[in-house]
Amino acid sequence: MEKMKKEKKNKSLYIILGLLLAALGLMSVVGVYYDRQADSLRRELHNTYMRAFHDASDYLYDVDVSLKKAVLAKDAGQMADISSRLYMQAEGAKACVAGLPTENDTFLNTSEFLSKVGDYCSFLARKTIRGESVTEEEYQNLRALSEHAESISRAFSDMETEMYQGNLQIESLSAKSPFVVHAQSGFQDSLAQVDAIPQDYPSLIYDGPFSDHLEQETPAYLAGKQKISRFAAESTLTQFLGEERAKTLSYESDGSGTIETYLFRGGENGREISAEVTKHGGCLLWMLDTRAVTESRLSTEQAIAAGELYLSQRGFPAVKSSYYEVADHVLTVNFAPFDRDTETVFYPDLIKVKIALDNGEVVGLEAKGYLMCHKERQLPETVVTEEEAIQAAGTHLYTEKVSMAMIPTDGGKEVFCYELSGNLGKNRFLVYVNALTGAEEKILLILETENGVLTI
Amino acid sequence: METERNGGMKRKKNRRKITLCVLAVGMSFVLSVSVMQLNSRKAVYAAGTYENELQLLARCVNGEARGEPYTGQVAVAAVILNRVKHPSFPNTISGVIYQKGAFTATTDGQIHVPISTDSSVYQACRDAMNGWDPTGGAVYYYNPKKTTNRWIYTREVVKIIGNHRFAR
Repeated sequence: MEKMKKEKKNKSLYIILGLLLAALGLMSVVGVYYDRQADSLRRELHNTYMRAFHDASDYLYDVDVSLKKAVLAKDAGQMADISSRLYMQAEGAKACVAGLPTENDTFLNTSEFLSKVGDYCSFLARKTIRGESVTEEEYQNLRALSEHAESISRAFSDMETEMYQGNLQIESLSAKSPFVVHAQSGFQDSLAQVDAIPQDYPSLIYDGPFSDHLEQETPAYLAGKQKISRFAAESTLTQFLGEERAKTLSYESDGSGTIETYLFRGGENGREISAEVTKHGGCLLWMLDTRAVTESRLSTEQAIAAGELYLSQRGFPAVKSSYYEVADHVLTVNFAPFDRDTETVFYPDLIKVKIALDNGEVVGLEAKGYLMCHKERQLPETVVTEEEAIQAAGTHLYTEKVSMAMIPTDGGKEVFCYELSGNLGKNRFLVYVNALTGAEEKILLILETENGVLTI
Repeated sequence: METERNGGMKRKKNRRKITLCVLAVGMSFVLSVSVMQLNSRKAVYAAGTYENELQLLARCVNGEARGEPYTGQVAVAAVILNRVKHPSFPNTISGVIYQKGAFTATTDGQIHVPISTDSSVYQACRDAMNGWDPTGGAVYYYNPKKTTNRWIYTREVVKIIGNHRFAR
């Protein structure tokens, strides 16, 4: 009996041991499996970083060379050729640098430089193509940009050499954070050094989206208006939201920046209502009402008419609707002030309105464009005739209608144009021809979808 | 003799029990994995570039500002769009979102969660794409009660909405 008990015990011990060994064996197989997988993924990731780095280095060198050549470009064709290449190279460099495993604040300055360089040269190309010449100041700007580009390119080239010599590595998994891939500290420091190269090029002021003057812009409509208290601002809320909605709002904070404001938030039962009123002049900057709209009872035309009426009752000038979008039983429409005498639409002074399609109530308004740009304007005399404008748009466009428009440029300026709406095949377009020079300023494609009409 | 036979039967029973247990564990593991696969919801949303961009934006904003008031969600979406326009940041929505360390949604898997087109996050992103910007052009935001990033405090704050400060 005792012998059998002992044998039983031994047998169970052997079984347990056997199971344990089997488990260990299984675990090590699984471990090797995952380790091999990790290795393969690591290699792939390393390769993408290496490609991004080498491409960045190549592109930066190209930007350096292109800028040196641009300083000597007098011919419009030559300037256009160099600048289009440079734009692509600067964009390429920027995209590749963003593909490295470092956070954005490591190369804020470098990214900004690359954006401005490509953009500035495009602006110069446009100038020369229009027959204007590049000024001496602009050539000096190019020289300064070129010197800065050379410093960056040399620094990257040095980093590349270090990498080939095995002294620098891009990514690592450190003991501190073994599960998060990040830049190796030596690499991070080198990049930070590149970004710290003094930005010795002059501030660039030109007609383009990255021009330095855009940060200094002030709201034209609010010029000369008095500053009001936040209690006075509440009357604006009542004017635009009505008593019912306005009384649910309470003041939250002051806003600064380009337009100083008071922020109000409120609403009830899960319905959030918020609005910002400008400190100067007490104008409504924007408002949003998240009322759930569950059905559409108004047509698009009725809704747009309701929006027009709403604006006219609150001190806005006569407006014309441009594109619109319908989603979740709410119509969002863009309005631009319209002068009937001259038949001109003023697109920079844009006002966006959201109209609930159940009862025509305005549930959203956005007036930054209007407040920044709306002012008294003296329209210039047109130099180009309507027929010349239609010809300038070329033979591919079948023009159906011509009117006048003030359109914004990327650099915050305005151009007075003929607005030609027409088609080419099944695509509809808006072509803007400068009423003074006859130059084709902008081409917009009209997208008509079941949810609305958009332009791109 | 009898006890030996009984002992033998018991050993066989034990072995059978162990095998059954192992099998049961294995099967339940396999079943649970396949059930998880079946349960992964696939939201249906409209195709097209504009709607695709909205979907990506919504997934990121959901990861960052889920549970925040509507205005806060519009604000986060607006920050992303403001970065696209800003010279120091990438030029596309996906470039801004996928930038290393920029948004937690890309590291914690939230970026893969499909967002329904009638959710409030999606609508907030639509408002931002249509131009509503409660941040006045800000490109940074942080929650002073939660952030550990000291550098961000050097940026000029322009708006305060709920728990977040928006800066440029």
